[in-house]
Amino acid sequence: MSNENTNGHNMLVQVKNLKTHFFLTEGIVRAVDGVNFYIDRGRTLGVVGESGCGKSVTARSIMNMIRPPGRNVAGQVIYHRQKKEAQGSTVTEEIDLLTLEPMSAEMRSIRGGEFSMIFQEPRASLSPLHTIGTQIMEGLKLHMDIDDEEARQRAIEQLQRVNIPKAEERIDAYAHQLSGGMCQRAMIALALACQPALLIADEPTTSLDVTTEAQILNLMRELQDTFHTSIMYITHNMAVIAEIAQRVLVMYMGKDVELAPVDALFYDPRHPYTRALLRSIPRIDDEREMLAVMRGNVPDPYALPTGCPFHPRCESRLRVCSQPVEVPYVEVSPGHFVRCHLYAGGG
Amino acid sequence: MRGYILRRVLQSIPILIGISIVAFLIIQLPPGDYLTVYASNLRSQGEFIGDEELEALKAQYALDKPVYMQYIRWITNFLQGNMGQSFYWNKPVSSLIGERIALSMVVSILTLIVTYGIAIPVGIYSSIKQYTWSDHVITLIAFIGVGLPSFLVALIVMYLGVKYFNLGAGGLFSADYLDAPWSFARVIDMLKHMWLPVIVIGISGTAGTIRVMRATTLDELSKPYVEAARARGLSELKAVLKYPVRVALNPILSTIGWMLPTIVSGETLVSLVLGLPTTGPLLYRALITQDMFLAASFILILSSLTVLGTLISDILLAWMDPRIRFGGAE
Repeated sequence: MSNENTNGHNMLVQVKNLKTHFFLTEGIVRAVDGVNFYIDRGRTLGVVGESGCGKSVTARSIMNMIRPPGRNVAGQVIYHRQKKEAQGSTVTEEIDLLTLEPMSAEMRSIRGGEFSMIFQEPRASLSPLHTIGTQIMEGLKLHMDIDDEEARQRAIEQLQRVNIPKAEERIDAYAHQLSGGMCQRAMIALALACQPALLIADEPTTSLDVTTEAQILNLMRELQDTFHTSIMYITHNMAVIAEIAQRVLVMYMGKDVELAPVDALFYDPRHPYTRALLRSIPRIDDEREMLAVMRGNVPDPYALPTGCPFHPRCESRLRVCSQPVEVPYVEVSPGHFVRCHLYAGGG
Repeated sequence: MRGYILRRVLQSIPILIGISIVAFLIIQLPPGDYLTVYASNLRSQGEFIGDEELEALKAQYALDKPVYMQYIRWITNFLQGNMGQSFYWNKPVSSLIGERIALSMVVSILTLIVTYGIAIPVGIYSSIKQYTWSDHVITLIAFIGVGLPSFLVALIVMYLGVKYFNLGAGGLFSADYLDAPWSFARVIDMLKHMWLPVIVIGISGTAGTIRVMRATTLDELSKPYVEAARARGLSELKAVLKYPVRVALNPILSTIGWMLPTIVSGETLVSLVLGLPTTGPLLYRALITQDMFLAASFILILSSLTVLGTLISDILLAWMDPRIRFGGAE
């Protein structure tokens, strides 16, 4: 990614050539293997891809919380941190998070304080033995200099903000006493308690019913408008992406196959994988009898195909696609990137 | 919570009545009674005991009455604190049991403290370091510890003690203090002898608890709430100790009540080998000689402690785990 393409943006996080590998006895799994993207301030980046394509590992790499046997083997996660100066002006400093020790005090103050995360199973993400209030207050006290009483007051406000009714009582509730949707609201309250710059949502509505999903999506949009939080929204649901994201990253087997503004992605998809994904979505005005299905299966993570990992399933593959050469990463139109030999000439 | 405790207490009353009946009947099951054993022993030694004398003894202990009458007599006395007379020792059962129960409890509670004090931290460490060499070493040692029969360990340790360290073989007191009245010096003497039984009895429990602690912690470490705690910016130590370890401790701490009967009965086999003046060997002898009042009282006390221990466990678990505490209400 060259600088001219990104200078116009107000970037919060820039991920460059991120590689996260897992060193298992069975072999090396290259869960993330060269991924580039950026997240704009106050905007939402959607990340889509099949299960196991590296979406969640990318998210955890940004949080710098990859644990052995996994390791960030290459790349940078640059955080453009804004600091208010005494005179009222703001300055921006750039920190490569991957150069920080994962458990260092500085990294831990960013994690949870400036970057926070919500997860796929809201109830399981809350401790079964502690009240939701305890957990929200814990985060608040960790990142802010406040006492118990103030932390409790803020935790209640936070629960009210995510529309949990009777917040003064619910603060002392345990996860098993709340519905899945309420648990996810509590998780969002917890994640946003310290007003983070970035919220990473790792399939936060996958385990919820569609009505609750719509409510949670609305809530996240409202909160984003209020606090200008950037969101990285991971999902495998294209409809959710269309609803919430301004930019979309499509991943396949640890690679970033396409990065585009949301309209460009839906109306002018370039990568054969993205096209196949979009074709396999059922539509209400569709007259086809059979749904288009992508041929083939996700390859074995221990034995990825040489060249472009998608070539065995690709309908427009060229001879070069199976060759062990770097697949070109091309900007086909401003802000629209694709990693594919088809556009080697520049689109 | 209060209703829950009350309900559980009321439930245990019929259980205790049933246990007392079973305890008494079990003692009656083998053919004959203490007096027939007593008489045949005397006769085999050439001494004579007349039938009239035997009948008189039978009447004295009400052994000529039907079983249910004997039971009612026994349980009525028991509830008034009179546990009857031991035939073998020719002493009141309560005076026989008293000191031995106290000594058993000292040995057992010390063992319990040492067991948990070692096993819980080691188990947690082993789970955090899963599949590293330190975990493998701990696992190997724990497997050996679980597999070794403790009476064998007792024999080996005693042999080594006598042969190489010039230690007395077993017992809880030196010869000087064996029959001495209780004094500060006697307590010190006892504590000096205590480490051996504590280690021998503690080995298998420690090894087993290490395995349980490691397994339950590992189960919890992979739960999403641990990752969520890390994502809040908690330090690794705090994230692990406050959440998964807290959850993994529940089954261990809440089963502490079940230890109650073991604490009182002690390890019979090890106590026999080491010659400990605890309750285990006493019960063992009472059963062999059909010393019915001593044995029945013992069994009833141990069973009641099991019921009480389970009650304590249930209350502890409800107190520690909100999912159980609120289980019925929500």
